[in-house]
Amino acid sequence: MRAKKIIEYMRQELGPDVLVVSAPRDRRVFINIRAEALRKAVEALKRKYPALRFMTISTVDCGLHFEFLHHFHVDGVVITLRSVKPKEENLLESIADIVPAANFIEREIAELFGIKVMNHPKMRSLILTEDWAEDKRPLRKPLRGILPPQARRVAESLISMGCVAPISRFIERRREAAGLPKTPPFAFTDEENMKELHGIIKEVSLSEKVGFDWEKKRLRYR
Amino acid sequence: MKNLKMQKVLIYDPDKCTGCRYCEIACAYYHFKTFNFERAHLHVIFDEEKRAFEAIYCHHCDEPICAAACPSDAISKDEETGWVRINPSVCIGCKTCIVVCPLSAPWFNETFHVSMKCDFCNGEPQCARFCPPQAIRVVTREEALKFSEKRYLEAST
Repeated sequence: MRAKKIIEYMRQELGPDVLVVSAPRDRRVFINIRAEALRKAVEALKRKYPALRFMTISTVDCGLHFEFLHHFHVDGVVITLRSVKPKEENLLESIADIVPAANFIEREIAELFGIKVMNHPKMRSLILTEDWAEDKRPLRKPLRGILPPQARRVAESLISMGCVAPISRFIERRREAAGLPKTPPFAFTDEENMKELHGIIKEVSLSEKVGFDWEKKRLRYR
Repeated sequence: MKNLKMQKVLIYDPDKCTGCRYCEIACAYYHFKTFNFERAHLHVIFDEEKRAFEAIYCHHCDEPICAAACPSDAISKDEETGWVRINPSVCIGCKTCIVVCPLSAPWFNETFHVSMKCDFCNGEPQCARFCPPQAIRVVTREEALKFSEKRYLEAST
């Protein structure tokens, strides 16, 4: 019951910033929020429940993005605010001025993952030495998606051009010698077909899964 | 548990405590047959700044937050006695209970790869039984609340 009340309150306060809510057990709530609304969510919780107890922040390096899980204890219920940030941004908004207990864990995150924590009241090293190499963070993984190296080019061309296998120079020359155009007429040379294909790709979120950048028309990692 | 006020819990009186750590030895011996302080379910610590003892032990909360957070539902509050216990065959050793508990009362047993905590020694806590100055006692929840209220009022004035 209390879990439901909290969910309702958060929906009312944050509105569209709440993405997904799940309550797998009686006194356990997971709230997926937009990363920009993190501070707003914590402030709203603090306003309604002054006895809010901050537990910890878990950070998961998922390859293409960081997942931040802020755990709170409210009224006998464990609330987890889950927010996702792309790895290129490399930023986490500090909540240490709202809940001071978050100070140390944010310093730890900044140190072990090499994430910049914005507006932290007192940022200095916690575990590692002051002169620790910036590019050698113990828990940070390289920017890499789920695709193995041999599948990356195929996926890239499938999403951007609509064909599975790029044609090699050798075959292009052979086609020219035979008096044919360089590339065979693809089924997706038509713009309308291409639009439909991109629509399908976005719908099944293939581009998100493999980490495709729509602006640069290439994978975020190579 | 139906009558929460009558639940038997432990209380700790720092004024009486001498810091002998008999409670820890009794606990470790009862559960693991060793005299290892690190294998006790409760700990007595000494605060250098305040020059005072403090014990860290499970309070068997009315609404255990460890049970709410446990991902495998290994922790449950006994309906009859009110004891909060971990089922070691269900525990997956994720240490969530240790992080969420305000006192970090559960501890991680690396031999068995499970979390462990005070199980109230089946009704007869050995720490209370062996405490020479009776700083740790078994009382009902009602008395314990009165005692801690008095203690905190004294501390705040």
